[in-house]
Amino acid sequence: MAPERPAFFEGQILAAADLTSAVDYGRAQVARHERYLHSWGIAEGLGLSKTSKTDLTSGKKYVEVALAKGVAVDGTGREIVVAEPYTLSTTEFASANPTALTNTDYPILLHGLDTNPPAAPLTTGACGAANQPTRTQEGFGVTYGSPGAEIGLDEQKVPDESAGPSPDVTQHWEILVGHVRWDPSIGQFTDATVTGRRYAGVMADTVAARSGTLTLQSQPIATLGQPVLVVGGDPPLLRFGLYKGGTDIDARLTVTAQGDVTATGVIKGALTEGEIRVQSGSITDGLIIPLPQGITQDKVDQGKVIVHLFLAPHTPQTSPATWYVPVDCSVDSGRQLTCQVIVGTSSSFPGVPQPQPGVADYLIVATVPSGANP
Amino acid sequence: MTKLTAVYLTKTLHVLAALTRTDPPQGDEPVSALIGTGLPVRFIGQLPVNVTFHATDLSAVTVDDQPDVLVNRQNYQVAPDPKTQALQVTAVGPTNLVTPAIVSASSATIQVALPTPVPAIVVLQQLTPVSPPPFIKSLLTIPFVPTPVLGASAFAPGDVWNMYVLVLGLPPVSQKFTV
Repeated sequence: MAPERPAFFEGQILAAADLTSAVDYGRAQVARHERYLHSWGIAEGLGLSKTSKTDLTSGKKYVEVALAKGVAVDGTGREIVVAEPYTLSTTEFASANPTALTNTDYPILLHGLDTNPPAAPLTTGACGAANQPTRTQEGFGVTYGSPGAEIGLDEQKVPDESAGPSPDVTQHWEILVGHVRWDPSIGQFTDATVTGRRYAGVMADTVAARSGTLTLQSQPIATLGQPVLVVGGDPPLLRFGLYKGGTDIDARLTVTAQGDVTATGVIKGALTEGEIRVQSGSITDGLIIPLPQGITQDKVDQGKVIVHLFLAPHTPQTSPATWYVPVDCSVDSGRQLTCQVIVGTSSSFPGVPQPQPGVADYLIVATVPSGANP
Repeated sequence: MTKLTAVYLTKTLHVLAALTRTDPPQGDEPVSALIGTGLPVRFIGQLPVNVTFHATDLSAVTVDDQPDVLVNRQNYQVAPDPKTQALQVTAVGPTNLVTPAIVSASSATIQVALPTPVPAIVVLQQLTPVSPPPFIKSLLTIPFVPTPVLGASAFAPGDVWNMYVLVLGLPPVSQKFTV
């Protein structure tokens, strides 16, 4: 159903439904914005804090766990506000997980929950049904899930496009805020962590900066040494680097508008057309000439890389009375080297010594031809 | 920096082949990447041979370059550094401690003048009247006592054999015998 915007006219008698529709219209509009232009999750705060305690009876250590104040937006577009720190209930946890085990992570899930505060007493001149609430409190509820209950939170049902937030009040949209561990012998929490949380995001096909420079950083507040990506500026650049303070970064990778790339580190990984990789050294008979770093035999076999190999018999330092004659220096199709040499001395003359395995110097160049799509 | 990779017999630690590279790969490298399924060896000691050691009997280690290893690799072995236990390439021990023998109507033996048993690999290659693929025997030596390698039934009078012996820590030895 298309959204209905309430309209009023002079002299209209306003019923409660008319006023409620005015509120609902705006609320549903905001929810749709949150649902389709943002991804759901924690927006601010909502950490789990621990206070160390000791069980007076057993002497065992445990922690009191509190959910910090903060804000989240669920997948229906509903805003969830925790206005004050909320101490997790051991009673409710034990009720939800009566056979809870030690050393096991139990998810703590947060959801929005509407409640009606007590109605104001009927005042003189008031009419209509008595004790009707005039406010709805947008509160929250905590679910003490069983292990693994957080799996599948991404599969929760999203309302129809026209719907407002949480149209089905019986089906809460749960948000993971952390995990706790439990000691069943004393009925207390022993630990709490905030791993696995999902944070709210943005869904946008275009992100534009008004200052001429768009900055992406990995933390809400830029921190020295943390990675930053900056697009724009004068001259226009794409820069990745580490935050140095102010508006400055220590650039590690820079791309100019002309496409010139400057990197302070080593570029590794995928091959590119026209790329050349080289390996060189000396090698003894029987070994396979090694390919340059990053080149695999599969790529050679598939024709994605062309290998050029230069071989030369390696002549060692010999004494004046020694002579050295290469007999064979070649490789087979698998690049296995055959290198045979004859090493003779004046005493061996006029006989010819047996060929011996020798050493070859090699230079192997791998090139990526155009159109090879490596 | 140029690095040396030595391919060695896992049991006796003798370097059989080596290569240098300006840009060796980081981390462990399977020996099969350097030799395929096996390493053909054409000379042991002072005599030619035609034997292929399977990749499962070989290992590889990469160390800082030592130029002489490439040229005189049979004079080198792989051994752990006494302090760091990291593998390094070092010179083999003294010569003249290994005595191979083939005695007609007896057997092939080796005798090693070391006080403790050590691993050894012996290659026996018949040259005449036929030249079948060589025997490769892996064994543990007996100190100062001839250690049998192959029984007498393998040898016939007049046959010519080459015997190659690789004893842990000692230079390779080879000798020709006419039975």
